[in-house]
Amino acid sequence: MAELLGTFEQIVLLAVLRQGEDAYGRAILREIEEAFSGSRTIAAGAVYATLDRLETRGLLASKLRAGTPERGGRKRRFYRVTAGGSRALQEARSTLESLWNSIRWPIEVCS
Amino acid sequence: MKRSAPPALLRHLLLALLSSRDQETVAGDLLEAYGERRSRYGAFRANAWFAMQTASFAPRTAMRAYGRTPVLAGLCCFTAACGCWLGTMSLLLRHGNLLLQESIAGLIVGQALLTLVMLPLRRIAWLRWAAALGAVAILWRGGSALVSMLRGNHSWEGYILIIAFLLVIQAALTWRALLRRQPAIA
Repeated sequence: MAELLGTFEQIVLLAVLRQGEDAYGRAILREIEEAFSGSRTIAAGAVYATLDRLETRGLLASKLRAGTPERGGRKRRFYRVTAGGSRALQEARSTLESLWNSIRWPIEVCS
Repeated sequence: MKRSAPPALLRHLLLALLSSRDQETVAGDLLEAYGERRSRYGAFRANAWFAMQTASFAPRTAMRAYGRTPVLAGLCCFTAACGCWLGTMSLLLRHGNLLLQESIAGLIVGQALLTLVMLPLRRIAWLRWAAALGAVAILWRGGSALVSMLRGNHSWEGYILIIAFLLVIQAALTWRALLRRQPAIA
């Protein structure tokens, strides 16, 4: 079995999926911030480190495209989820679902 | 309309912290986000956000840099601790020339910290030069202490011998790190 995705890795992969064709760094960062309802500032360093790691593991692929004037003409790196990334996400979800399904909600804690 | 840019110091720091692969794309992403934030929240909050985001790249860059030079990084941590200890003991015991002893302790701690900062920020030229000069200073200090002890001018003090020897090694490793070509980061 492949290494299970961490929570933040799942969040980043889902943000890339949600952005579709427009999934570049800034858009992914904004997507993640919105997922937290803007209640916290997401560290860009953590997001880019996760993107790099996922790309190294073959779960994401990227390509460069031309920049725009508001970013000083700097290129954008667009990401897409690979077949491996999609499988890893599904596996993580089904693992979590099978665990959650066996838990009564709300969680009761014995004191 | 041209958007205002973040402070130059922060921009340079960000570029120094990013790998060559990410320099263009990540800096562009953050500049874009900065422009949005500045027009929405004002310059102060946008600058604070940019500073925080720049700082968020530091741990990874530092870990990468220390991973490439683990012996030097470890040595710097050790000699910094030794320098603090020497300085504290000089203050408590007050033997001999206090100013000279505190200067030596300050040099040891300062050079260790400077090297630890320089390793991840090697792109900043003045940091490289400062670390190079500091390496010469600790080489001279450690070397002269070693020579003086070997010639019998000073009584044998085990801890001074060890610290002097480590300072010489640290100076050599700093120069080696400075002369080595920076590896391309994928």
